[in-house]
Amino acid sequence: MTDHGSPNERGPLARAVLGPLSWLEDRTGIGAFIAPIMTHRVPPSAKWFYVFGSATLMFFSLQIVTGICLATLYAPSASNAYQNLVHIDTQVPFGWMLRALHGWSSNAMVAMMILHMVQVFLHATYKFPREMTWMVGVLLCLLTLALAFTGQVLRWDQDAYWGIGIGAAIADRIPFVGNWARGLLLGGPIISGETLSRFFALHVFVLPGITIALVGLHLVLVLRHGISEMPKAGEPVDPATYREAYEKRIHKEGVPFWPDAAKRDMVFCGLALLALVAIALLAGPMGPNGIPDPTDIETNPRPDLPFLWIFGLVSLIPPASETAVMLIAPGVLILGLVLLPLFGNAGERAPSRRPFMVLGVVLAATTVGILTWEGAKSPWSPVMDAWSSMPTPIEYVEDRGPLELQGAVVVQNAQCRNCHELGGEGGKRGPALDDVATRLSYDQLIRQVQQGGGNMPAFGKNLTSAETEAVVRFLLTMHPANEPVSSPPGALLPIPPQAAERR
Amino acid sequence: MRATLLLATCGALLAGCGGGALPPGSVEAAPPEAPGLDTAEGVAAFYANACSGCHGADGWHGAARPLADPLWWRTMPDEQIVEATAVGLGRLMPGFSKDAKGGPYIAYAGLDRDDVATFVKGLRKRWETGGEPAPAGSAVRLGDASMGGELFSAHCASCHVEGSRDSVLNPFYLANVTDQGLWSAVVFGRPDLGKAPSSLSPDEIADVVAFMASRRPSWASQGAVEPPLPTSPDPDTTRETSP
Ligand code: HEC
Ligand code: HEC
Ligand code: HEC
Repeated sequence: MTDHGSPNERGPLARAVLGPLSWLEDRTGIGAFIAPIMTHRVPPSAKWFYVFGSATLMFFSLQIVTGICLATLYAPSASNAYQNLVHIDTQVPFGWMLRALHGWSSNAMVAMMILHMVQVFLHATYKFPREMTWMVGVLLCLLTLALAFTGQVLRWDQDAYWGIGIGAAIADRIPFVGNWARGLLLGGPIISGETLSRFFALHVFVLPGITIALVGLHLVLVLRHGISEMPKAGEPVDPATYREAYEKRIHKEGVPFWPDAAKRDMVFCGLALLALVAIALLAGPMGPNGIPDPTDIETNPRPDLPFLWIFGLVSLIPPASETAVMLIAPGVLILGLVLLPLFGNAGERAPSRRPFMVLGVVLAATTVGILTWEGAKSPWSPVMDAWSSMPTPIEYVEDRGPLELQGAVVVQNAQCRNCHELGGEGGKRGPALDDVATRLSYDQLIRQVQQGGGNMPAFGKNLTSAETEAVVRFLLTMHPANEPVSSPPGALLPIPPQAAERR
Repeated sequence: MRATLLLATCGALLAGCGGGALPPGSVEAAPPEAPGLDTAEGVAAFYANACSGCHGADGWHGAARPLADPLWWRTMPDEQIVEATAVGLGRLMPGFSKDAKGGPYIAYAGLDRDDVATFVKGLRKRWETGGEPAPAGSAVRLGDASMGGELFSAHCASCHVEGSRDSVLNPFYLANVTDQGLWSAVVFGRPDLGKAPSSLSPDEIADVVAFMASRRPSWASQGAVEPPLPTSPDPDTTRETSP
């Protein structure tokens, strides 16, 4: 590519073009830099399986371009963000298309990234000498998810609100520094305008910066170690001889990346891009879905697709194991993925010789699939008519005093039942309330009802103090006969003076 | 061949993303498809969907008063029941018609008053059985509170010990209940929870109810007045117990 001959031997036109080009080449060496990259030899077996990485990169580039355009239109102000998006959708020419592309391309990038990771995992490409490539890849995976999450928050609609709620609940559970981590995430104790500014800075400066740097590193490593061959059963990786053998084979059989392998990437990326545009045209931009209103439970907010499974999980697990599932499990999983190549960087690569790894992928895919479905469907969405159609279980009506019975009515009327089960019936969004008195005291119950928390709306403004008192009195009766209560049974707590004063 | 397969997978994956784009509001509490409120099945279905949550699966043993009580049906005229069902009663009993007011959450706010009337007729057919109406009549009367206090000590305090969880003088309890609710509780009792209809005379009942109402705390004096509620289309959420 650097060899264009002497410009003087060509016609005036060619000279006008090539002259400056060769000047540029002479002074910068860009061509000399790119040429080996384009022509480096790749194994001939590198076929369609290898396109996902390029597709991920392509969608990331698209994210940068559309993201920069959006950043010129978007203002991270809590009071205006919503109207701002509506404005982009309705007033800015093709603004809606820009938002649709950015939103769907984010999902597409996650999808391609996952396919890429699964392929690399199944083919054990992470083995010697490509361990670092994989580790950087895992970091890139986390960054991509973080970008998707922070991006969804910038919509600042109900979905975003619920999303951060769970994020905050996870941060809260970190031992010792939980409160601090929550503050760091939210920019204060509660979800507010500070939170939005924070997520904007993360989404637009911090995360993309790190991601671009790591993508560069990832590519440098890919070039350094060469593209791996399709695994063959019975040809294990031996760190002592692998490099030499690879070099030899590549020299003999390898084909130049450009155009032999690149053409597949380009065909695939082109088709994926077309699909993306079609989806963006058909589905339009994502959200914004209603102004965030923590007390509006008539709607059915949910997070974006890549995170649905987490929410499905959170709504299914028993409260006692929440810390384990929400905090420890992801930590272990991420650490396991990062360290994976250190534990097995030699040996067979072929999936047929690594049945447990294949099983692991199948299991993980099934789990995430089911959880996503759960998150999208039943347990996550409140049961909208539970409050009026699911009778308070008779055993919870019997032996209750008048105020407690009123509390049972409040549970129905305030639609607690839409999210909480009583006697096995009701929404599964929050924990079942059948034995809540064994877990929470009077004060904690009051706080939970008034201030909400986790994923529960605050009812402080919607319930009178008398209704709050009634519902908490009722909840205090919710314990199995043989199990102790958080606050002493029967002992009537004094009417809290502040409850009366609130009026 | 493999390429097409891969492409199909990716297409499916991308299409699958469509699930996340459904407007969340699309799952809405649809107004009940009432299968004819003039049929027994229609009445049963609407009762199960709209009332059973608070008034009990079969009209008994609910958190709120039983609606299957024959004595109650014999005593209460349709208009009064229709009014309560259509508009609501206090803050805890939601209204189910377009005229519904207040309450933390508005129920269906969709039925016409005529529908409500048809529904109530159906309920009456289902639950009213022969016999005498309660002597106290159907209209809430408030008598002499100080007389009521003495009657309360004599006839009620043994079961409803003040300061206990069974108290009916608990300020929070009184703040949540309407005079109509107090009055019904005395006149019809809660047969399903072991409380028989009162044997007091209509005048005595009026006195006892007046006494209980007089113990309603001053901070709840305006009945069910609350700051404007976000879900209420009507900024004026004050309302009387009964027309
Ligand atoms: C929109 C759904 C939703 C509604 C409506 C709702 N909750 Fe919750 N609730 C939740 C969720 C989710 C949690 C778990 C919060 C967490 O993770 O900390 C929860 C937690 C609770 C807890 C703590 C349970 C425990 O074991 O820790 C109590 C008590 C509670 N809710 C009571 C109520 C009452 C009373 C109402 C009605 C006034 C109500 N909830 C309405 C979703 C809801
Ligand atoms: C034999 C015991 C007994 C006596 C005497 C009695 N009650 Fe009751 N009362 C009950 C029972 C049982 C309930 C239903 C369970 C509950 O609400 O605790 C009840 C419920 C009530 C309720 C609440 C109904 C509701 O769900 O809101 C009121 C009000 C009431 N009684 C008033 C009175 C008055 C006034 C008197 C005196 C005229 C009286 N009671 C006498 C046993 C009694
Ligand atoms: C969210 C709970 C709830 C639902 C659902 C509900 N009710 Fe009620 N209802 C109450 C409460 C609580 C009261 C007592 C209100 C008071 O007096 O303070 C009541 C009272 C009534 C009364 C007046 C009783 C009296 O004392 O005169 C009627 C009539 C009634 N309800 C009918 C219905 C019908 C019909 C439906 C279904 C269409 C229904 N309710 C659904 C909670 C409910």
